[in-house]
Amino acid sequence: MEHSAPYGVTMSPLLLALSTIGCMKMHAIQVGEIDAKAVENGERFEIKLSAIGVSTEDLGDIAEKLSRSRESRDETAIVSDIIELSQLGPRTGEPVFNPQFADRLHREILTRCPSGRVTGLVTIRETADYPGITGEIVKAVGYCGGEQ
Amino acid sequence: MRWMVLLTALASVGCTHLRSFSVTTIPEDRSRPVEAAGQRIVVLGINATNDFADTLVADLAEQCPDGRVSGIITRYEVAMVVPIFAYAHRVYVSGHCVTATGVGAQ
Repeated sequence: MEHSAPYGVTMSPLLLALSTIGCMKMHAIQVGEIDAKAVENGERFEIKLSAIGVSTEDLGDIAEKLSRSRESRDETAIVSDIIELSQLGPRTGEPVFNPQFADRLHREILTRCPSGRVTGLVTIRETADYPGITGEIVKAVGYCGGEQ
Repeated sequence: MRWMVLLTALASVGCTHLRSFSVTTIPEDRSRPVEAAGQRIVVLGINATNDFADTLVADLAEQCPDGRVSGIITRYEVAMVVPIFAYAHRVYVSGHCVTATGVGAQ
């Protein structure tokens, strides 16, 4: 079964369902020093800090498909291409409004582990990918060794 | 044209990309190396979580009871398994077991 959309665009329900599934993309991972005793006896904690990213490419595609005339579709494509080209350069994930969203990570870690005896800290930079928008995430998993 | 497509397909098989790499302070005593790895094959880019890397710390700690694991190298790479269709995401970690006496745990 296929649903017809304006201007010859068709999408099967399966493809529609697949496009709504969020995919997790890992960009980088770092493992810190490990104290085996603290890993065995300490308390495991996990912290996720995130910001909403905007996929200029996806939004451009959506706007292009929603355009009513060929002329307006072409104009949307040009604007989308210009915005996309202005985003060139090394990066992970999509642009966010506040790039300092993960700067409070150390404070969050100390809140979860007041003793400061943190070990086996794994820091992961990942993206939760949805159509048009993304979740830009910095995740930290570690072990708290308790009081000294 | 057919040959070009075939050559391009063959050339792309086995491609591996390094995504990230990090290292922590390297200890003086490097007599007892330890290592662990995690892997997931991602098909058509669909991947719900990155939990395949969750056990790495516990795996290293298990190999070094009563000690510290230092000089940890973390390498994250993506290798093509089936072109366009499937990719293997691998995280390797290796380090050195150091104990208070300066001798690796046995």
